[in-house]
Formats: sequence, structure tokens, C-alpha cells
Amino acid sequence: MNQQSWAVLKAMVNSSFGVSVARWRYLRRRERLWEPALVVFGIGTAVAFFGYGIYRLALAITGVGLVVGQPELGLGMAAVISQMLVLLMGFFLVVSAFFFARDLTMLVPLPVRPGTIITAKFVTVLLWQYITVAFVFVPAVLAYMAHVPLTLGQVLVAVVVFLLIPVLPLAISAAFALLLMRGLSRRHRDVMFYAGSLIFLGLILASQVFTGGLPSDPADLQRYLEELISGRLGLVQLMTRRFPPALWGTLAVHSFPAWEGLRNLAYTIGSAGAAFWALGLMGNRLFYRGLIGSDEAAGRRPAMRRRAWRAQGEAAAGALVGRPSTALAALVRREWSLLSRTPVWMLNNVLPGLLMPLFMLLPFALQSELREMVAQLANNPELYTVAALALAAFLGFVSSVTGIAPTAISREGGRLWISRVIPQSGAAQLQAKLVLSVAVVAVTAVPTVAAFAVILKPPLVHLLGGTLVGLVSGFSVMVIGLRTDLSRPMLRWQDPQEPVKRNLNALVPLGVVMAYVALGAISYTGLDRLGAPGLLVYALLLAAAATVATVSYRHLMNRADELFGRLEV
Amino acid sequence: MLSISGLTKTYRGAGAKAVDDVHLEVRPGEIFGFLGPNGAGKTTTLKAVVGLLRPDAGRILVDGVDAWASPLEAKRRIGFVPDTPDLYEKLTGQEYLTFIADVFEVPARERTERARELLGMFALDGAIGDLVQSYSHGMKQKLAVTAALLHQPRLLILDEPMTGLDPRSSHLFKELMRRHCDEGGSVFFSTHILDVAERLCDRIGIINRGRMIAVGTMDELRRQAASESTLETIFLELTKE
Repeated sequence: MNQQSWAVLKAMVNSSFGVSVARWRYLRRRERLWEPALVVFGIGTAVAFFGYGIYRLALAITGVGLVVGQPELGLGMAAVISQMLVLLMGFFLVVSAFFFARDLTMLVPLPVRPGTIITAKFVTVLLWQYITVAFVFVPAVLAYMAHVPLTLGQVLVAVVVFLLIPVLPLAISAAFALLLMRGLSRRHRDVMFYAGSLIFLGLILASQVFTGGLPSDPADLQRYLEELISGRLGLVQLMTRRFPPALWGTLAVHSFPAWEGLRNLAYTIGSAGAAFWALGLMGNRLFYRGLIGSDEAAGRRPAMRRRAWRAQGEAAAGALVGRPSTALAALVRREWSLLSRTPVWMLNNVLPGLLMPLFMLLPFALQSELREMVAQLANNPELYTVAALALAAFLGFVSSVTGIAPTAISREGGRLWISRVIPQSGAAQLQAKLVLSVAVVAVTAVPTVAAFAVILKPPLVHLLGGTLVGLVSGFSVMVIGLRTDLSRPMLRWQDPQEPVKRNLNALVPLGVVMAYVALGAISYTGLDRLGAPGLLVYALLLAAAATVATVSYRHLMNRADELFGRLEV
Repeated sequence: MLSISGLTKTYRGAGAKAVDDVHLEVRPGEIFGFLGPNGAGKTTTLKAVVGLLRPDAGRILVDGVDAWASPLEAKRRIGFVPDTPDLYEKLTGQEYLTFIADVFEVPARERTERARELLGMFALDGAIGDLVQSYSHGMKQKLAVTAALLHQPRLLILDEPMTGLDPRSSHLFKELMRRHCDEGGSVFFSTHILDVAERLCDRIGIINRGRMIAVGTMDELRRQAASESTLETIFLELTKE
């Protein structure tokens, strides 16, 4: 890496991770020192909670693998899941970083090769991906070590594999992003970007379906399963055949220092190196064409549109400004227009909520075995309550990952002055933000609840119980998220990614949902032990959620004008 | 039309007061120019008037309405254009004007007439269907001015309004300000262009280091400075270190 590349990378990492800001704020000015403490506490809690859960799961899977002579099963699964997560989430992150970041206007005029910019941006996104991978892969390695003692060499190889495991899937996402954006004009960029994203997701899902199915003939299935269990690495190969690099990483750790281990380590390192090289090459050839070429198109087309407007518009001068509507409708329309036309906001705030039900439901739609299994479970009425509580938790979770409310003020950024000078109360403006958030969650809830009803066919009381608990708790989650953002919004940002991706306020709803899930679990087990009717749990949770929702909403509305008035731009 | 008394504001973490006990008055039908060196407190004063900054002390009356006791009533009377036209880039010009007209509850006929007149004057009518992000700085400035005037405010507040405007637009803009005042409104604007202030303003206020150091007509300022020279000379004399 030459000095120039290093300088670009350093500046980008510095900016993306807020290193300079942190140094300036916490070390030089010694302000808001509680923030790093809170971050450490939050990360520590998340690591303890999720990390331990995943470790226990990996321990169980590795134990199962050990029984059939394949202790690397958990490791292989973790490698596959890590890489699939990077492949899916990484696509949106690289598109945001490559094409929608505001630093591009500063970077492009610099005398550096486009490949250098792309590589630096790629590494920055990659560094963020290690957080995801660490949550999945590290507990699996620890679980593997708990069953199979590792040599120092294997531990070092595990570290290398951990560092390289997200490279190839992220490079695939980046390559697709470069090709996609090369083909998009700026005029319809947003719409085409969504279409391209859906195609990408569709391709990944299709590959899952076509490579993941089991033989349909019962005799073939029996033979297939026997081979899998008796054959060495059979299950691991099944898991990793959707993405062979995961198998290379697994075998590199498992078989090191044998030839098989060395060969797979070489594959892992080689594929990552090749990915970097190819990306740099593609960056040099495609990046500026996707970025700058579209700008040129933008210069011509508005002129064409201006003429069209002039031609048709002068007679109908009323078109210069739209027809009147209520202030609330105008505020909601503004929120939606700004959200839907800013791809990084849609990707971070809306798409996860829309895609999560899809990902959850797709296996049921495509695999009859799964549907039959669920149908068997449905014969046991006791499970209805558990399933309905899971539905409630899922709806609540979707409300929390739909980060519209907890980033609503932050997203206004430098344009908050408009909200502050218009003659609409803070309460009215917050209501508009909540209306949009509730509408998006409602849209995602419909297919989830419908699928729950169709697949499980539960009695109405369970369907209503789970749905109501989920929606009411979800509403309270949104209100608390909005209240948090109102108290400490992130208003000074240059890049539209910042208020949604670097905003700690977006994590607060997740914590509230976890509290609800804990309350649900405690209530269910407690009532079960007392021999109380299972339906009582809905009443209890609904009362709790309704109380939290009412109190938090009233509190928000009562203090809206005061808190809104405190926001300084 | 605008009465500011005892306005004081200190930013968090800053030692000095950004604005210190400022008193001034903008009369009906008057163009009031607000001058001062960089960081003198002009923008802070303007932001406090439009409700963007909460003052630590002082009272602001807009057309007799307390801007901090009845903020919505005060805001209905104000049209504001900030120093940088930071508008919603992802809305079209038309959508932005519709939004502003809706939240200011401007009736259909009135909004159409005002938009037609202002957009025509700024030659912006042909681009009104385009996204704001495709506008030049000057176009955004003109759109911001159009939006600020759409509800026919009594008081027009402008922070460095001439920045980025071409000579024709700048000329149109000055005419617009004068017409607004002739129709009974008032204009309170900050500027660094002393020629414009000298020729356009009925009265001028000069702020330095957060304190008002001079207010009056050009003649009054000359008397205060004991000089018969231009506003530039008076300004430099009054604000020298």
C-alpha cells in the first residue's frame, strides 16, 4: 500500500468511525464522557447477552456434530451464516458508501485512482462487518475449542480465517453494486436502485432454494441422510455448499497443519487476495463511470423536463403549487417523500422491516417439509400460546428495527430550521413522524399475521392476542425511540448515512423489545407454574404494553413543544 | 413590527456571550439592515427571532406577539430565508412550496397567485417540477425566498440574502423587498454588502462582539460617527479593534 492509498484509507476510517470526533470531544474537550461509558456498557451487554446465547447454541450444534464424528459442524454453520449475512447486508452498505456518500464530492477531484477510493471505502465497510462476524464466528470457534483442543497454530489460523471470512462475500456485493450503478442513470437512480437490490436479494434467495432442497423421494432422502451422517464432513459440506469459501475456512482451522488444512488456508487467503485485486480493477474501470457518467446525464434531462413543464405548465399555472391539504397530511407526506427518496434511509429504516417477514416466511412457502412439521406442532394446542407470543415478539422486533421513529429528528439534520420556523406545534410534527412509522410497521405486520393465521390456523383468541400484544408493544417502542431522538438528536451530519447508521438512539427500541420479551417469558412461565389459564398472559402483556404506550405517548405529547423548542440549529 | 429588548445568548461551552443585551426595533414599512463583522452576533439574533435559538434572556415581539410565549402565532407573521438555502433536496420545488403553503394554511387561490407571480419573477417556473437537489445555489435561494413570501408575512427576515444571486436576481430581490415594505410589511436582513445596505435600507443597525454599537438612518449614523463619509468608512471606524 503506497502513501497515497494509506492517507485515503486513514482519513476514511477516521471519519467513518468518528475517531477524530471522539479524540476531540472526549480527550481534548472532555465533554459528554458518559457517552463512551454508555457505549462500552451497551456493547458489553450485547456481547454478554447475544454472544453467550450464540455460544450455547454453537456448543449444542458442535456437540451434535461430535456424536456423528463431525465436530466442525458448528464452525461450518457459523462460517456460512457469517458470509451470508455479509453478502446480504454488505450490499446495501457498499452501495451507500460507494455512491451515496457525500465525501465523494471531496474525494473524486483528488489526484487518486478510483480503485484507491473504492478499496479504501471497501476496507471501511469491511471493518464494520467484523462486528457482525464476531458475533457469529467467534462464539462458534470458542464452542469448537471447548470440544476439540486447538493448537496455537490452529488458533492463529482461526484468527486469519476470521479476518478473511467477510472479504469474498463483501467483494461479490461490491462487484454487483459497481455493475448495477454503472447501468443506472441519475434520473431514475433511486427507483432502479431498489429494483436492482430486489433482483440481488432474489438471486441470493433463489440460490438458497435451488441448492438447499432435499431429495423429494423418501428412499433417496433416506440414503442421502445416511451418507451425510456417515460420510466425513458430510453435514458440513451440506451446510457450506451454498458458499464453498465457508468450507475452506472451516477446513483450514479444523485440519491445520495437515495438507488439507494448508490447502484450504491457501484457498481462503488466495480468494480474499483475488477479491481485493479484482475489486481494485473493477473500481478503476467502473466506479467513475457509474458516478460521473450519471451526473452528466443529470445535466441534460432536467432541461428537457423544464421544457416539458413550460409547454404544459404555463396554461395550467395551478400546477406550480399543489392543492391544499391539512397540515398533518402535509407533514406526513414530507416525511414519506424524504424517507423514500433517500436510499440509505430506506435501506436502513424501511427495508429491514419489510424483508424480515419475507425471510421468515419464505422457507415455509418453499419447503413443504417445514409446513408439515409446523402443522404437526399445531396439533398441540399448548403451543398456540408460545407461537402467538413469538408472533408478538416478532412484531415488536420489526417495530424496533424499523428505525423511522428513533432517527426521525436526527434525519432532519441541517434542515431542521424549516420545521422550526413553520407555524406547526412540536406535538403535531411528532405525530406526523409517528404516523409514518406506524404505517410502515402496519404494512409489514399484515403479511406476517396473515402467514401466521394460514400456517398455524390458531383459534382467533391466540391470533388476536399475539397480534395486539405485538402491535401495542411495537407502538410503545416507537414512541420511546422518538422520545430518545428528541432528547439527543444527531443533527450535525454531512453524510445521510450518519443519522441512521451511527445513531445510538436507534438501539434504544431494541432494548425495550428485549425487556418486553423478558417480561413475556417470565409471565408465561410464571402463570404456567401457577396453573393459571394460558390466555391470561395476553391480558397481562397487553395491559403492560398499553400502559407503557399510553404513558410514553402522553409524556411525549405533553413535553413535545418544550423539547422541540430546545432543539437548536 | 419587530421589537427586541435585552436579548442575550451564550452558546453552550462558549465563554463569551454571542449576543449581549441587544435592543432594537424594526418599524412597519421599514427595511432594516443589520450589519456586523463575522461572528458579531447577526445570525444569532436572527435565529432567536425566528425561533431557531432559545435566548437566555430578553423579549422578542413580532407584530405585538411574543415570539417565545406564542411561537406559532409569531411564526405565522414571519417569512425567513437562512444564510445557506438548506432545503429538502429530495422534494421537487413544487412539492416544497405545497408543503410550505399547507403548513402555513395558505388558501388555494392565494397560493397559486403568489407562486405564479414570484416564480415568474425569478424565472423559476420552468424548473419547479425538478428535484431541489438539481438546483443551483441561486435557484435554491430564489425558491427559499418564494417559500418565505408565499403566506404574505408581515415581517420578512433574511440572513445574507444576496449571497449567490446573479446581478439580475439581486436587483429583483431588492425591488421585492421594497415592494414588500410599500405594502405595509417590514424587512429585517443581515448583509455584508455595505453598498446595498446604504442604498436600500431605511435604517441600519451595527452589532459588534454581541452588542449593538449603532442604530439609525444613514444621516443618524454619520452624526454618531461624526463623519460625512460612506457607510463603509463608518462601519470600519465603528468596528475597528
